[in-house]
Amino acid sequence: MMSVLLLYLREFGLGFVATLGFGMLFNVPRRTLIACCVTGAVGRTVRLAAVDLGASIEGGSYIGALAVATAGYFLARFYKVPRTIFTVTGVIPMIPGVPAFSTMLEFAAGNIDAGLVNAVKTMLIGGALAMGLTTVRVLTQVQGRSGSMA
Amino acid sequence: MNLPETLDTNERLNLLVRAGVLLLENGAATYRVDETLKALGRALELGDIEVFTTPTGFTLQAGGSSCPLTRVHRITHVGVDMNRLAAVNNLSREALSKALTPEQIADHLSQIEQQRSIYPAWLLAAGVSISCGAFGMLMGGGWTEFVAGVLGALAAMLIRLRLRRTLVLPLMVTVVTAFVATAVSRISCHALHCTSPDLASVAAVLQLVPGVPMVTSVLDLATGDILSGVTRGAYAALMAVGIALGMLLFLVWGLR
Repeated sequence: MMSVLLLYLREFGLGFVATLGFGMLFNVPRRTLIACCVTGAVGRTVRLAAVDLGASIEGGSYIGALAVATAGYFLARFYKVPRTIFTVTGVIPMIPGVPAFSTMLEFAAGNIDAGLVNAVKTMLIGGALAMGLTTVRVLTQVQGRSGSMA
Repeated sequence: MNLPETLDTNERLNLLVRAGVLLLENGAATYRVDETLKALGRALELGDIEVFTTPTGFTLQAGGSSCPLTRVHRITHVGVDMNRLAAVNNLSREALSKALTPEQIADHLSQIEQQRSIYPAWLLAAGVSISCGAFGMLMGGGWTEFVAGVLGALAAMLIRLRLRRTLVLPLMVTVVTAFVATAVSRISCHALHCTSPDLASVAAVLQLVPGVPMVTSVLDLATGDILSGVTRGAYAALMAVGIALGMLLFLVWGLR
């Protein structure tokens, strides 16, 4: 039980630190930096919990992105800043870096089969993150734009 | 409401162009550019504004169909600065609620244009490299991967800050930076006897991931701005290919 808790704390802490540099890189307003880091950490932790409860990494990424987007919605209202400040920095820790890297290595080595497997995995995780953000965006869009398709 | 007529319609339209440039150059999603410019247009009493926004430029028209005034503006520089986006967003809200005069809006815009980065270069380099190291651990690495990732990311960040001022093409900056990040993290891994040097090099290049174009691309597609969404997606894909190219240049022909 203790070790599980530590594992989650580690994920939260590393997610927090991992988001910090990106917040700075995107020059987010100073008063929102900590909130960005918490958003990123929450996303990672929620994804870990979802995967522990039996979700696939893709499904977990979707749920993690839902958490990030929901947090972004409320934080944006609280700080009165554009929502993307929190959603962009928040999903970055969930980016499928290792599958993307394997895709490149396998293709470069001529292993097209293994490359494709990794490419599909990368796209599914990336797509799950995108869908998570979009779901919340569509549900919270209060006034529709005239003349837009969505 | 009677505004003092000190700025004529042309000058007020130019203010809108400046706001549009600020938004597009710093990574705003298309619907936000449209909405912000329309709100600012109302505040400047320009009547109904028509805006056509793409990531590489925008067209702006005011004055209705009887006496239209048009501006076309190209965007050549693309960066990310959330602080400026938040500031322009705030300005468009305040312009309406506090009934700012065109002069006050112009002053605010000049202020935003002159804003520098909040985080000094040394802090940025330190923050980004520590974050990249944390990524190495999140992906399953240990402390040696953390250190190698930090070193690779730090070297890459220093090169990147330098190149941004000299190299014009963002793709070139990405390729060179990815190469440096991979080289330094791999060599550090060799010295530190890392068990998984791959993780360290992935961690070090993660700072180059085009996060803002990827997310705004999805946002654009979701809000119906298909053209902008596809364009931004293509840009993000190009940058991803640039990262892969930079890494492969080292992994294939460098020290293996």
